[in-house]
Amino acid sequence: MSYCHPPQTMVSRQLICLGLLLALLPRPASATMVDAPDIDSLISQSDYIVRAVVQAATPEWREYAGQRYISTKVVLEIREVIKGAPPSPLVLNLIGGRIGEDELVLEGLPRFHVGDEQILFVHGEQRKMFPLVALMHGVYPLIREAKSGEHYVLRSNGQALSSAEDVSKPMIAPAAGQPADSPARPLTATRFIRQIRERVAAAQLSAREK
Amino acid sequence: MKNSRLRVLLSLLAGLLAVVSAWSFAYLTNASTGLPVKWPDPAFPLRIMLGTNPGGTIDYNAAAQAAAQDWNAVIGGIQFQTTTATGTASERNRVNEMVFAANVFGEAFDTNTIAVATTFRIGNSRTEGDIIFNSARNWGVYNGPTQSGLLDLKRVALHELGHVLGLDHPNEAGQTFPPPLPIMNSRATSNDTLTPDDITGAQNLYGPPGPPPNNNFANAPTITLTNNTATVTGFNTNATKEAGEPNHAGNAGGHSVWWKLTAPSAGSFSVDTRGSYSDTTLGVYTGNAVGSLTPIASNDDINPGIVQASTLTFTATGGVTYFFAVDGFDGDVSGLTLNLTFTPASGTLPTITTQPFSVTTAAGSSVVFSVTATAGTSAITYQWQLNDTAIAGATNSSLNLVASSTTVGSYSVIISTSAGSVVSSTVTLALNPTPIINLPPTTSRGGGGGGAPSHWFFGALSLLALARFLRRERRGASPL
Repeated sequence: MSYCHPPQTMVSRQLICLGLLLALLPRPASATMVDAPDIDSLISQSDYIVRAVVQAATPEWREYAGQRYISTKVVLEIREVIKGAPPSPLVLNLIGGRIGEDELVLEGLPRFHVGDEQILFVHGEQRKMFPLVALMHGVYPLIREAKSGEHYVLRSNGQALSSAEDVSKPMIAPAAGQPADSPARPLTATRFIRQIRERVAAAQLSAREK
Repeated sequence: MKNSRLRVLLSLLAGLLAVVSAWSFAYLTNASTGLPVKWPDPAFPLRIMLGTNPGGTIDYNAAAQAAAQDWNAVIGGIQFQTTTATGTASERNRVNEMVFAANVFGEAFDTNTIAVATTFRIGNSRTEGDIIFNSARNWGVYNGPTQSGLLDLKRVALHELGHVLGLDHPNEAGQTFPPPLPIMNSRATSNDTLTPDDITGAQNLYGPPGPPPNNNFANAPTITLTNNTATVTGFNTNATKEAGEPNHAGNAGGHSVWWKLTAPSAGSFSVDTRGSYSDTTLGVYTGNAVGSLTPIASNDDINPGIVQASTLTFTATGGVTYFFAVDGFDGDVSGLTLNLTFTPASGTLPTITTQPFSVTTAAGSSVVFSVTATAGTSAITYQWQLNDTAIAGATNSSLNLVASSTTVGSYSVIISTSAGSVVSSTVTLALNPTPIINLPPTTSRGGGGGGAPSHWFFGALSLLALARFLRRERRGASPL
């Protein structure tokens, strides 16, 4: 075992630091109730699937039927298109946000911060209160291992994603004092994207055959 | 190998998440203070606009009202006040509403979405909370196991009202439970009522119904230290301030609760209210009555205005009972936590092996009081007292005095080490009583006490000498 090897220790420390940062970020309070779709349904409901980085998140006042409310305009720089032909940059308008002391919260929906890199399952031109498929189930933040540069996939609650099939599982963190799903192999972004592409291709082939 | 390490690290991360979020309740918090953003008023008006199903056989309004009443029965700091209405709901009208809708602010529901809770806030207070049920879904009202394709409105209403109060999903916070599973779990189960975990989460924000048992100073429960630490919890919801009670940390408060603890020895206490769900004030006192307390220490905020829990430290005397008051700043109420850490003073407490003893003597006599004490390797200091007042410079194990009317009195000595102090027995210095002599009266014949010998005395002495001279002459003895 070489856990004490200096370079690996350094990598571990870096990842732990990154993990600590993620762990200490405020997590969404998931008041909104959503039926989690399986991976195929998530893909089929998506007009675009992209890997993107948040360039800007700007809250603004809007009006609907005479009522003012806060919406946040999120500008995404697309790093990789996995499905569809999204515009670039991709702009999402999300209900909710904070302007000064005023804040509107759709309880449980993920929040976007500049610099965040994610894989997103997006409703296209359809107007939705939250343009991500199945809300929090359509957002997969990426965490980067410092030394290798490899990205790994998390769910929107910060839990590691171990397989594409697991997107429909409840977002349950391990119980306190219990080991955290140790048999599961964390999924790399590369592998997750490849699995999505394979399913997209299979779905397209199936559609053509019909 | 790399993946193995990564799994370990991600496991650690997930474990940390579980630890960080080990409570069943997470909150929308004030970014500045970290405190939950609560409803400021005890009344929560809720306009229910759900109506019935098209056939009129299912009363959704009644189901939602029943859900609100279930919450009302277990929380004390806020109550849902339901009314029913018809018409179109409005998301931002300062009215809390519960409605069926196909969209939110004109934006369509995602087909996977069952219901949405929206919350408005200004600063540290929630100002409006709406619950919108997706009208495209199929709704019923029933008990027991969930039915495929039919959502139980009361169960979802209970869940969403919990979110409006401020609760999160316990299963996503790393908690596991035996059945019945909490209504606040992220997925509906066969359980259709509030569980203890649901109730505890809500009570930490708003307290249970009724006043707390430690509302009054006289009913302060005793804190027990375990390994010199203790954490106690409670609520100040519906607590009151007693007549004559001091302001804690200079704030009027108004909802104080009390605990007490007797210091096991000399040492210091660190006390804080971290873990409380509101802005607290903290005061420590000694005394026997709420109207005549001696303040020891107090604090409002750890970091004024930012970290609004309270913290303080104070030096304790062994055997003294201290009272701890926790109040809400400007009357804030919630679940409270009081954490205490006791650090015994280092060193050994003195032990007196020889006590001083009382002395009664003649005026002008020298007197020495002394005491003998041991304290292991700890340095010992002494302070003698006369009538409970320290004698300047009297700081040795012995005290040298000259008996006089100004030195008589009660003496004791305080013997101290870094671990604390002990006091000797109290002893007294007294003067011998003055002897009283009965003298004959003074006459003209002289004599008497203190005068010249009398003529009678000299006459008798001469006669005695003459008689002895004549007796020797008669015997022919030689002269003396």
